[in-house]
Amino acid sequence: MNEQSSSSPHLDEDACLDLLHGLEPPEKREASLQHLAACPSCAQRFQLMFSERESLRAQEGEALRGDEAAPESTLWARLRASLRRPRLQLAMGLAAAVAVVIVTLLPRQAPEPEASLLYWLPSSTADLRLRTSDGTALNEDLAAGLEAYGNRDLDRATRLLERAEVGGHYETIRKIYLGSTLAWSGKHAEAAALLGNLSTRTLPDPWRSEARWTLFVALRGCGRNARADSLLALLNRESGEIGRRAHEQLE
Amino acid sequence: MTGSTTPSPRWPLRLQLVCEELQKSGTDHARESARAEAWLLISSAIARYLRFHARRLGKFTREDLEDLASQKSLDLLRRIERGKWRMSGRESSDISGFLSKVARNGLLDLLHQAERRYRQPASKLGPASGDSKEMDGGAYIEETTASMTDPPDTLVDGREFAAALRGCAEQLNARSLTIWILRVFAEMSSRQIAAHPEVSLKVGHVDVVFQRTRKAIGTCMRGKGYEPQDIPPCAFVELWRAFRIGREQPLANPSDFRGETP
Repeated sequence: MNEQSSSSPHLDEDACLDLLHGLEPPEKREASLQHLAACPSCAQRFQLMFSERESLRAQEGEALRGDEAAPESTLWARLRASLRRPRLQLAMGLAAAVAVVIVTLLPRQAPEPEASLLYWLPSSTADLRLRTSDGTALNEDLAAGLEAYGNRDLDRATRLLERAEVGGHYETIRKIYLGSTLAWSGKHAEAAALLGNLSTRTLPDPWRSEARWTLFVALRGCGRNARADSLLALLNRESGEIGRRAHEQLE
Repeated sequence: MTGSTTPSPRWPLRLQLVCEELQKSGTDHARESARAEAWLLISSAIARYLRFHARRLGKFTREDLEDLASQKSLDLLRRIERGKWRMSGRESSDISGFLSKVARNGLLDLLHQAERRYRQPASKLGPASGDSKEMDGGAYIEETTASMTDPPDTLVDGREFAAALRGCAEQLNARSLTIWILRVFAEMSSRQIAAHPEVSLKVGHVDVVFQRTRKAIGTCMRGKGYEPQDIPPCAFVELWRAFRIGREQPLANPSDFRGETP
C-alpha cells in the first residue's frame, strides 16, 4: 500500500493481488477493505483485478487439464472399438451411468480434408440408435443430432445438439460434435468457447486429438491467435496425423 | 503509486511456497491443489504485468492479454513441475521481476508473430469480434485523474446504497449471486461465466439465471428507493467483503504460509 491519502494508504496492484488471493492477515485485510470502501480509484483497480482473476479461473480447467493423458472411459473405448469394426453393433456400457448406447458406426479410413483446415469427426451415417439399458429411447436429440452431423446437415445438427439434455460422458460427446458443427458453420468463437472448456484429458484418440485440432482451427478462426499458436505448438509435439497437420501449419 | 509502506508483497512468497509444495512428491490431491493455486497466482501476476507493459508496447485486445496470461502461466508451471525453474531461495523481487520479464517478452513475441502473419502494423491487429475490449495506452485500466476520494456526502450515499444492495444480494442463492457478480462487476461473458468453476452451467442457463437475478435485484433495490444501475464503486467492495472473502483463501496448505516478508 502507498501513502497518498491523509486518511489511509492507497492500495497498489500488489496489495490488490494479496487481498484477492486471501494472503493478508485479517487485521490488514480489514484496513484495506475500509480504504477501498472510501477510495473509488482503488476500488476500481481492485474490481479490475478481480475481473482478471475470475476470467483466468474460467480458463483454469482448460489450461491445467488440456494436455494431460488420462485413462480411457468404457464408453470411449467401446466407441473406438466400434470404429475399427465395420457395421458392428455394440452395447456401450458406462460404469457411472445407467444408460447404454448402442451405435452402429461406419468406419472412416481417414478424415476428409476440406477446403479449410477443418476435418470431420468420426461419425455414423447409417443406423444409429441410442437406447437405455431398459430398452427405452435415450435422448432422441443427441441421436438425431449425431445423425445430422454424419449427414453434414449442419443447421439441423446444431439445433439438435444444442437442445440435447444429457449428462456424463454423453455430455462430452455432445460438446465435441456440437463444437465441430459450430466450427464447420463458421461460428468459430462459439466453437472455441465450447471446446476450450472441455477436459480433453478424459478423451481417447481420435476424439481427443480431433477435438484439440478443431479447437485450434476455431481459435484461429476467431482471431485468438496467441492461444491458437500455443495449442498448435503442443499439437506439433504429438505423433501421428495431428502432429503431421500441426507440422505442416508451422512450416 | 509510489512510496510503498510494506517491504514487499506477499504473493511472490506464497507462490514460492506453493511451488515448493508442487515439487514435493505429496498426494495427488495436495499436488492438484498446489498446481491450481500456483497457476492462479502466476497467471494473475502475469496478467497484471501484461497490462503494465501493454501500455507501452502498443495495442492489444483484452482477449490477447488473457490468452497470453494463460499461455505463459502454463509454460512456466510446466517448467516448475519439471524442475527447470526453481524459486527456492529467491527474493520476492526476483520472482516478481522474472514474471514481469516473461510478460514483456510474451507481448513482444506476439507483436512479432502478428507482424509476420499479417504484414500489417500492430495497431490493426485484433479479432473482429464485437465484444473485444481493445486497450490502448492504458484505456484498459483507467488511471483516474479525479479526486482520490469522494466528498463525504457522496461516500455516505454510496455506503447506504452498498448496504441496501448487500441486503438484496443476501436473498439470492449462492450460484445466482455468483453469476450476477461475475457479470455485473467482472464484466464476464456468459461463456466465461458458464466455464467458471463455481458455476459450471450451460451458456443458455447462465443467461436465464442472470436475467432472473437482475430482475430480482432491481425489484428489491427499487423497493428500497434505489435505481440498481447507479452502482457506486464501493458497492463492489461491500459485496466482495460479504460474499467472496471465504472463497479467496489460499487453496493449498494455508497453515504453512507465515505471511511475513523476510
